[in-house]
Amino acid sequence: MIRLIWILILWLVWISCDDEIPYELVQPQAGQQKVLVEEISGVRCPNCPDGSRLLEALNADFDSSLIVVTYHAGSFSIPYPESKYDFKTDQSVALMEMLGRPLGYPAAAIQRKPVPGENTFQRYSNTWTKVISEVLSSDPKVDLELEVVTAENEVVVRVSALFLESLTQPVFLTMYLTENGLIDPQADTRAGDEFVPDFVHNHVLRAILTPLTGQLWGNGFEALDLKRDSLLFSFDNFPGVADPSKSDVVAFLHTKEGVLQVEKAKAFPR
Amino acid sequence: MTQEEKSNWRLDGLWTGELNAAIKDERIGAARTPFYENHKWGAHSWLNLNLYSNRWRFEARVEGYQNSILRNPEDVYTRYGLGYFNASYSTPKWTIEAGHFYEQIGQGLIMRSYRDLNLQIDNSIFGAKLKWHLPANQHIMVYGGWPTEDFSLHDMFNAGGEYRNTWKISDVVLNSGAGVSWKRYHSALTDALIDELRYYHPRDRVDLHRNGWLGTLFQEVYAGPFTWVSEFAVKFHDPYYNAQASRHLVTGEEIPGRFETKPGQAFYTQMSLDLEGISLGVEGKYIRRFINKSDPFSFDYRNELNFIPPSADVRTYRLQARYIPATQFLGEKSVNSFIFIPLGDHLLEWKNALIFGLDGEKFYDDFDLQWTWQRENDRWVAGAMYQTYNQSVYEGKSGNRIIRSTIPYVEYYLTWAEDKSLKTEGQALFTKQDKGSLYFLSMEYAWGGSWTVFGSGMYQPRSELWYPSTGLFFTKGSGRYGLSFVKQLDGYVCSGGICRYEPAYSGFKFEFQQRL
Repeated sequence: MIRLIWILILWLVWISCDDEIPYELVQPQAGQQKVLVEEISGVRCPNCPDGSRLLEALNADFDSSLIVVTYHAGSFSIPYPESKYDFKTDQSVALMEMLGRPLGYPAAAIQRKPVPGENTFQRYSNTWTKVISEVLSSDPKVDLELEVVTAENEVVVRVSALFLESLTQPVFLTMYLTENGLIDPQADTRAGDEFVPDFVHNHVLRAILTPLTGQLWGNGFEALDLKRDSLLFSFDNFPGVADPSKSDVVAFLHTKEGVLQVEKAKAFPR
Repeated sequence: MTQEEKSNWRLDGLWTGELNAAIKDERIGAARTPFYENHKWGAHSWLNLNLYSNRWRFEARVEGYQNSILRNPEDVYTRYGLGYFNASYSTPKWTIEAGHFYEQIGQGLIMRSYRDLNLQIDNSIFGAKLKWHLPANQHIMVYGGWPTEDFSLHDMFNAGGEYRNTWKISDVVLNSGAGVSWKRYHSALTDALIDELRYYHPRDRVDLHRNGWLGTLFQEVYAGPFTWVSEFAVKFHDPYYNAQASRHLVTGEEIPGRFETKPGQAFYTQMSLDLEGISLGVEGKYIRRFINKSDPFSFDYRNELNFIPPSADVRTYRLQARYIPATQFLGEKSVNSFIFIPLGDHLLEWKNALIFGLDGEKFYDDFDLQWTWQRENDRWVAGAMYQTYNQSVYEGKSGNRIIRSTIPYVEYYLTWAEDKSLKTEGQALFTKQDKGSLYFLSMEYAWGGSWTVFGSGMYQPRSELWYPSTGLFFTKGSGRYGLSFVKQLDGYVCSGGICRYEPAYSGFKFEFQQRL
């Protein structure tokens, strides 16, 4: 009988050696992966409207997953005498210097993915579809939410990010203020005299609300870490904005390997 | 079965029960439950039958609950059935049992299956148990089965055993032993846990195992007037709900309460010295994550598979029992001491309980001095207790509610003319916290060896409420019957070291107990 008990004990020990029950944690549903397109332009750039039109088409093809920011810089960005606005700013020029001076137009940085083998983010339009498709084929690493609260001209932008994967490198937050529906001259190869006096300029970069290289958010995050941040600004500080009600806030998180996620919200939601 | 055994069969039993009739009383809170609003009456009864011979024993308990408030006074409970059946066969060398059985390993830290029907506790195990009586006062017990609750079985198989050796060194008797309890969780239980755990934040991920283990070592030493009992137990891989731990949400917030499978420890020791002029004793306890339930989702004390008594002395019928420090299975360290000094007809008792959380926060203390004067025909008992009770810890009340109370009491018991006795009692509980002070008076008169009548009243000045009770009991042969009218303040009802919260009661009670 004692032997039987020993056998029983050994059997119990044996079945308990590897008895952990595997199960998977439920991951929160990630939002749609979105793609930041930082399109360089200039009012004197005749090919740039083609780039904008292509981006509109791609946005439709890719289920409205593109968030386009058009910044004016470079030699094509000098306003016409009849221009009401000067879209070029010190910040937009600095942005161009950071993303790289394009050799030709249209050009854009797609999700800030570096061009392999080159020291630039600028990509020609014939590679945009491929890069956008690649970006959208991967699952988002961050679920990003953007909320804007406006009182008079004061704007509070609240950003919250739920990290869906662990990240071991510094993460930065960058915020742009853009404006839509600006009617001003634009060179355009499609126009009869390559000039459109009342071209509608959309998603024009009006201000970079954070440091150009971004605001450091953390040197790494664990999966399911949640981080919230907020930023306060006043339209009074941006007199260049023609109509605040047509402006947007674009926020994106990025690492040196590219943009993790981007979101856009009306800066004047009333 | 031999002819001799057949001729020695005996049958006996015990039939007990209680019938409650509701008299709604909104003022004391005896209202707004199905018992008071709809059913107006409830009853429960147990019929125990034992059939046994020299070696065989069959026990059965038929149970009936009709609108019973015993299980949950906030609701009613109606069930009928066979609550217990046990068949056993004994020889001088071994005993085997099948069906429902009760058992305990060591002091009960890792396993105690028992019943306390006054609180409707019956956590018997349904399975089989074998005990060997080995040479030289050695014993081995092994068991296996399913923990039960309310005529059903839990989704868990529990098996284990105990080795115990009683031996001597000179005049010192030692009782040494070890035990183990194994819990095998059915997939229904683990699936239910996974459905909960899979939504946990990765930081709070719980390693879930198919088997849980509890082990214990215990030692008892009896050296003349000196007694020392100690037990150390561990558990691991056993899921439990830690209501004090917090869990992360993906929103960044934290909420209290999470499942865990962290290892737990429990240590219990008790020393006493009984000398002619004085008795001393001290009891110590250390508990860390030692919840052991048949259902980790349950908050019901009926699902506990072990037993660790409260550190304070539970005196059920005194106002001292109004604030009872239930054992904190998640974490507690406590010391409980007593000194008894007999002085002729007099006995002085000093008791002191100190209970702390593992971080040193004081949960409870009491200091109780009691004097008893026992003479041939009468007895005086008087004393006072000072108590500090953390209501937030023991009753889950918000904030940090500390109740400080002083409880003086006096009791006089007189017998005369062989079959007459009178017991009078006065108690008060002075406190500024909770519901304020309470005053209690009672008188009980017994005569003729069969009749007892009692009357009592409790007064709560803050709410100006009276709680009168009166009743008549009749004892004849092996039967006892009683009819009483009871108005009872809400509070804790304790039995055998287990306490539970009871809402206020108002109504008639008919109770009976009849040996068969």
